[in-house]
Amino acid sequence: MLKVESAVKEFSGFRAVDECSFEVEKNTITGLIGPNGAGKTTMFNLIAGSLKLDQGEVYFSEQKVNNFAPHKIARLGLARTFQIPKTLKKMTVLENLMLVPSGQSGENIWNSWFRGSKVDSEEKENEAKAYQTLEFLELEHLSDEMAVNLSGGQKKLLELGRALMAEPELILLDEPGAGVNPTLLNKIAENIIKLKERGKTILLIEHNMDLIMNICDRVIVMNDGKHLVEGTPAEIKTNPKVLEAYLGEKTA
Amino acid sequence: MFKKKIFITMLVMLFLSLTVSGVFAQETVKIGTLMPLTGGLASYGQFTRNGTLLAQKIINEQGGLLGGKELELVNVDTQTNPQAGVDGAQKLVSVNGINAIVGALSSGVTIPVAESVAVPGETVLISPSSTSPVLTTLEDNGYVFRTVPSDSLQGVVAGNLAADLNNDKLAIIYVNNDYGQGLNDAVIEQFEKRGGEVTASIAFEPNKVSYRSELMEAASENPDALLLIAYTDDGGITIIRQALENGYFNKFIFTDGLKAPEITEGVEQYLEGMYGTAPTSMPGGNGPELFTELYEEEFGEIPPKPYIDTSFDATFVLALAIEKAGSTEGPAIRDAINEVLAEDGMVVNINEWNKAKDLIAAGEKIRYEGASGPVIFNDVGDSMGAIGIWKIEDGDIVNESVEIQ
Amino acid sequence: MTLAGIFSYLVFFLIFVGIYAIMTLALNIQRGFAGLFNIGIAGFWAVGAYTSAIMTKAPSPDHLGGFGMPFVIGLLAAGIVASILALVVGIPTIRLREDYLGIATIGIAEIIRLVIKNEAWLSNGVRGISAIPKPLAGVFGSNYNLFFLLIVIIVIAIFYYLSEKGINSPWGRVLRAIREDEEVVKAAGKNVVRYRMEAFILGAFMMGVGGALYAHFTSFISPEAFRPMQATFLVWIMLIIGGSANNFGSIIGAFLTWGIWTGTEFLTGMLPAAYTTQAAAVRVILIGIFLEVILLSRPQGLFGEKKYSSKSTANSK
Ligand SMILES: Nc1ncnc2c1ncn2[C@@H]1O[C@H](COP(=O)(O)OP(=O)(O)O)[C@@H](O)[C@H]1O
Ligand SMILES: [Mg+2]
Repeated sequence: MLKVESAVKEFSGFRAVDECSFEVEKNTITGLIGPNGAGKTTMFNLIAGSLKLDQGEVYFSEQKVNNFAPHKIARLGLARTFQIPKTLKKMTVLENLMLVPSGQSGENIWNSWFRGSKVDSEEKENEAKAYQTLEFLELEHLSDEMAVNLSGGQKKLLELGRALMAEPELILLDEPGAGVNPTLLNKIAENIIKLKERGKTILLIEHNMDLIMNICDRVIVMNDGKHLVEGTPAEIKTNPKVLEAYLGEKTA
Repeated sequence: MFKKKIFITMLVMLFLSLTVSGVFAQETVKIGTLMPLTGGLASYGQFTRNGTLLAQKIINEQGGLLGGKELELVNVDTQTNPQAGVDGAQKLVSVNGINAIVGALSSGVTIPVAESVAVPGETVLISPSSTSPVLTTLEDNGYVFRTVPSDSLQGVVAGNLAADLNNDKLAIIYVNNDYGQGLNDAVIEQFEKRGGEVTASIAFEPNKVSYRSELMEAASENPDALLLIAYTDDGGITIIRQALENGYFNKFIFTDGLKAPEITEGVEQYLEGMYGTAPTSMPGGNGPELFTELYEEEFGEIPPKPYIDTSFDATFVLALAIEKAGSTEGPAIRDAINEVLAEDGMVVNINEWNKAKDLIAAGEKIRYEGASGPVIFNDVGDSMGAIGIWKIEDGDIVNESVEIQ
Repeated sequence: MTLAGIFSYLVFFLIFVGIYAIMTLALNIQRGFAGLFNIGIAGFWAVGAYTSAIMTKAPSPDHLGGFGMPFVIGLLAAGIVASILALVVGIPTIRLREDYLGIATIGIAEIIRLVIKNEAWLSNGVRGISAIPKPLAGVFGSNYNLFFLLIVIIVIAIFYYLSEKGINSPWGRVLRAIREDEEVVKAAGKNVVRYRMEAFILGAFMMGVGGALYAHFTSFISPEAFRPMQATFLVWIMLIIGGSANNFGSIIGAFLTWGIWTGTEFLTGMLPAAYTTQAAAVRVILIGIFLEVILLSRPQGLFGEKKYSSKSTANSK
């Protein structure tokens, strides 16, 4: 489904991602963990096309997508959330979601002028879908609120909501649980599993180890921009290298 | 939303009140003036406006017009810009109820004013300074006049001059504005009519350091002479110097912008005997001298700027026409202009308004010896003009002869 | 001064306001909705004006054409040529930072002015194009301006409708989202450059049509009419006064700004003749003060940003 080969990304000489390679199998939940500054978010940006690779390759569904424009990769069926939530501040929560689905005929201005009824009926469906998503995220009471007024946790949920609205094949989730209350976190976990049941593939950055251990099929550990180890959650839990990496972070 | 509506209504009212309070009814005869007081030609507009004010003063001191009414001038600032000029002209016509306007200065404002306001609004428009040949051919129903000759007039004389000086092949370099282009076109037409060949006609942008590439191109087919349409301060002198230095040309014909002794400084021997052209006042009368005297009495020293005299004349001519027509209606004024003016009429000087009124009352025609010389319009409303031919002798400018067109 | 006179000036005034309102609506699509920095409005205005003039005039030896086409064809051609210009300017710059587009537009406006000035075969150079036909001239006699005003209002109504419809549609939602955060829009699979370009072209089309209306109304155009002051900056002032991202505000901004621009003339016109030169300077200061007062009291413009929403179309039926 997703294959990264010897990816390198430098920021003015500093290698944030350093010869990192891994694969994500179709229809799995894969955890991407590692201490802060390990290069996880940078890796997401490389996969999603938001950053350009300095070296290496990214394959998505067998297709080489190195340095594709982000919107092109998104259209191939990749959705992502941002670690620091990005919201369309002066737009309503509902609009934040309704923006997402691709292939809306009203996105063509010509249609929006002259094929009003088609556009309107699509918009109704789109709106219904957005409401469903909001209900699931327990945000429906905020549908008409400007996104700028949401709390940090609510913004994270909205991020997730946008990823769901895209109906993608592969979802990259960057710390979806940060700042979310435990009940909701469980719900998010359930839903990630549901997504997998529906045939989707999920790559998940998360610091909450319980979540990782409970839902992931495989876990990849990054450290200093490198691929450190990978394996099943159980293997990772007991791997001394992983402990060392995390301890190293704590003492540094 | 309701509050907004009230707000807008208030703004509209404010605007209307401005419109209404700006004007107050009075028993006067009004003439509009469209002078630029801001924008590119502001430094001219101030003085051309003085020209119109001087005419107003003379007329009012001598009893006004239409049986003792005062002449009132209403000026609108064109900002040297067609959008503002057209708007201002429409204001004069609609709000001030004016059917006679002096203006505008630049052709770029005068022509749209004529086409979108004066002609449809049946308003007489006399420009004191728009020299574009386009005005000649405008479909104006006779409403548009000017008290300056068209640029093409000088071009005709310059074209003839070039042919008379036994040149077969002529190169032209001209300043890239409507003045330069108009002259250039007229020279080409006339010179070719006389059997000559124009080998190059090149526009130049003002104030460059080097004009060698223009000169090289102009000289490429070995023309006999260079006809230079330029001003002294926009690159004309540089072109002459570089043409001589590099031996591109040794024979020149100049136009009015170069009629100044400084063009010969240091190169007297090379320019000795060269000819040029320049519009001059129509011969006859002593209008220009009288005008300078009256102007300086009123406003102090007269600046060396053009079109002050022609602005005076435009105002005076409109007053004459209104007096003749006995009305301030546009069509009547239009017709009266050609009825009252005649080359062989009774002479009226610029300070003889009373005499003019008496002559009009007696049904006489008038030869108006204006501030810029006698004013006579041809049948398309262009002022008849006189073009002088001048020559360089001992490093000085000497007037040779005058051609009337 | 008569009531009829005031009325006829008002009609005339509104025609100019209308033409400027078209420009402001167009700039609002580019700037207000898409965040695009077009400081070369004069260029699009000029291209529209010249295109329609050349298309509709009777054949003339002075310039290209004319092709004697009907007025409506002239307007459409003006819009299309201005759009093509926008495409050409936009392709290399629209994906870059916004100031690049600004520089490019200011450059292209100047280039266009120079081309018009120098390429006499095309545009009759500095002498300009005269006798541009007025649609149905002669049919309405002295009420002609009223008819022309009607044309202008119809054009505004169409553009206003299309702009409102567009901005409240999914298309407009993407555009507004781009202004908020491009990354989000890209992550949702939308081609940001395409939407920007569409907004730029749409605005340019409207500017072209506005320019054409100007040409037909004044019957004469020359490079003098397309200086940055009256053709570009005034439109920006109108947009800022009315409030960016608000179509209604754009129209009011045009009305008010042009009203102040010309209305101060009435005020200073009341001063005695001896003060006219000073009055001209005072007028410019007055304009400045008016604008200053509006902006200080309402920094967002008179109407501020309107809350546009795609829901307003979805729920309207
Ligand atoms: N745009 C950037 N410019 C410079 N350095 C960056 C940039 N983005 C990330 N980094 C650096 O790269 C390293 C990896 O960051 P990141 O990928 O965000 O780590 P993680 O998500 O694993 O915590 C960090 O040291 C961070 O400071
Ligand atoms: Mg991170």
